[in-house]
Amino acid sequence: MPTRHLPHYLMVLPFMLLFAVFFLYPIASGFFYSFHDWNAASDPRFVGLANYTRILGSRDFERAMWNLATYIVITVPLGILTALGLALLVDSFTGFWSNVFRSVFFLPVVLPAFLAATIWRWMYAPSFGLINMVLGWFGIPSVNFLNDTGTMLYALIAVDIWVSAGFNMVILLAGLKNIPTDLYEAARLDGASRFQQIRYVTIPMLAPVLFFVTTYGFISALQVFDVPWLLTGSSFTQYGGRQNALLFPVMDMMGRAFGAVRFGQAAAYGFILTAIIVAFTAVMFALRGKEAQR
Amino acid sequence: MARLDITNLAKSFGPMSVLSDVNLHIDSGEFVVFVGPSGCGKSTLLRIISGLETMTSGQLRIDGAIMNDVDPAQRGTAMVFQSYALYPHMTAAENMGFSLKMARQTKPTIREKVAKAASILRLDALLERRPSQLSGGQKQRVAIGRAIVRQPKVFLFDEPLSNLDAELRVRMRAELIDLHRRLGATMIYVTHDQVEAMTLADKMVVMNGGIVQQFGRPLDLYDDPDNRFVAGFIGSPKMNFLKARVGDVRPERVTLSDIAGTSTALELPFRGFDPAVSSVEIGIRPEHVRLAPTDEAGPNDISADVAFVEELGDVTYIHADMPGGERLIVRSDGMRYSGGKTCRARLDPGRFLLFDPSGHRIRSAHAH
Repeated sequence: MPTRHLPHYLMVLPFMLLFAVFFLYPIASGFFYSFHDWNAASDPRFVGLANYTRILGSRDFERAMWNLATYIVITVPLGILTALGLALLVDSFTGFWSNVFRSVFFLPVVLPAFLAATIWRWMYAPSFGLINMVLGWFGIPSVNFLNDTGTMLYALIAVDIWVSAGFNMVILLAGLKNIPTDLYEAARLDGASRFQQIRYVTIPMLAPVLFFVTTYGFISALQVFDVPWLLTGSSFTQYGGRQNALLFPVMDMMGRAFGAVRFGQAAAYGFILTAIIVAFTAVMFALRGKEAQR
Repeated sequence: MARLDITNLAKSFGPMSVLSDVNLHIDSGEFVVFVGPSGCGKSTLLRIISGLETMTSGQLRIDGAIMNDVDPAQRGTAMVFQSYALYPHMTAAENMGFSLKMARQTKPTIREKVAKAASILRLDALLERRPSQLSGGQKQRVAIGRAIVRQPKVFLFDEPLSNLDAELRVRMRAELIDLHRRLGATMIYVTHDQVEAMTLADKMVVMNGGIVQQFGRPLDLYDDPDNRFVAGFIGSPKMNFLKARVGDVRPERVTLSDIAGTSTALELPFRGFDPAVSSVEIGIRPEHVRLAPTDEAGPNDISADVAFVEELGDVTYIHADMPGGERLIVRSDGMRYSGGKTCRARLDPGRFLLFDPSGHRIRSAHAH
């Protein structure tokens, strides 16, 4: 190492140290424990791939993955469509009203998750909730949204879209503002209707931003935890709601770690989830690369 | 090909008037150039014709049909934008055929029309490329191709060459002239470059402050401008303007004195000069001012301090400061400037254009 580079290495050293202690070491030790049976009280016992096979074969994992798949398939496209709709709406206003709408739609993003969940638990409440009150006006009987296995997942999806739409809207809005107005003018002269302008100008021009929002949406959805945990009033031993209708992988992992005190299994769970997220992101990037090459 | 009539057109953005009292008649097949400085309203006028902008009052007719409330796509106009406005995610062929696709024409028809336009513009080999894979000139040709496939009655060009380098601009100008000749279409072209306007136009509309200053053939505007703005805007280098006091006024002649702060007084033939006008500005183009030999003083000569000299090879421009503060540009074709701090400029009073203090042209009355 030439001495003249020493100051450069010294400057990156604090970060590298912190990165090693708080990031690399936990990953490495997690990887180590994922092959061990360990309850934090006794010494870890090597079990090979047993933690992995046990998780992959468990009914809870199957349920959590099924819930997750359903949740992703609905939440990601619906969330992006909602955000795009809001972005187009805000983009059509200028000045004061644009700022008002932008702030209103962004507000849920800055709310802490527990607050958002509390608001929605009130909204969904069977006896005094706003939604059931409105349904009552139309003669529809009260629905226990957070305790009926037929509605629990959709109730969660509504909350998640409400929470995330503002964030995606702001990103999409920035993308919309970057589309040159003369492309829309050219499209108008070419005879494109408003809908055709969105189809042939807005969507293709937003493709990189939509890709980011979609990828980010998928990664966030794969890690869904706090809102269903709070909506169902979960604890480390009781989670996932009625009949595990809102059981998700991260929740399952938490339960195995701090409820069942099986840290080895929880570590293996973490690596399975990471592998899924990495594989998914790689597929997304490959698709995007192919599209960009066209 | 279409005739275009604009009557009493006005446009305001809120309280700000950007166009007022525009009246134009453009004949079928004419190449008309709107020219003027930035912010003069020329692009707004073009956008009103295209339908992208609405007018506040007035009327626009294309081939006699009122177009005020007609959708942009239905007006029979096609526009070429300054930025080209090509869809970056589409190939050149898809860009050119987009309007036909929107009009639900069949794929073979679209292919045929695109191929025809591409052959006119020599774009055949580039049809499968995306805009990012094209040069500036090629992009511009695709943008023109997109207009051609629509077979519009009127082509509208909004400063289409301003993003190109000087050499390419000259070449594209020639291509546009050739295209106009071949298509015979009515074309309206916006530019702030008066040289571009002079070279392309059958007729020019000189605009300033949202008002049409003059409409006519390029050389008519050059030789016979209606006001000081047009006189100063058309021509490069610009026309010289020299202040003068009006002296003796006779039915057939007028004497101008204190020209540009010198003691020079000149008598020029002028019929019916208004004796109420006490001061004028003389407009004279640089080619009508000659460099006089220093040893031979003439009655029409004025002396000036040389500020700097532009030697362009075939022609030399001497920029000189007059005692009155005006800048005088002298064009010297044959005689090269031999140096020295002062020069003697010989004016040709027969070429004088006179402007009153408000900038209006004072014309000699015609003989009955």
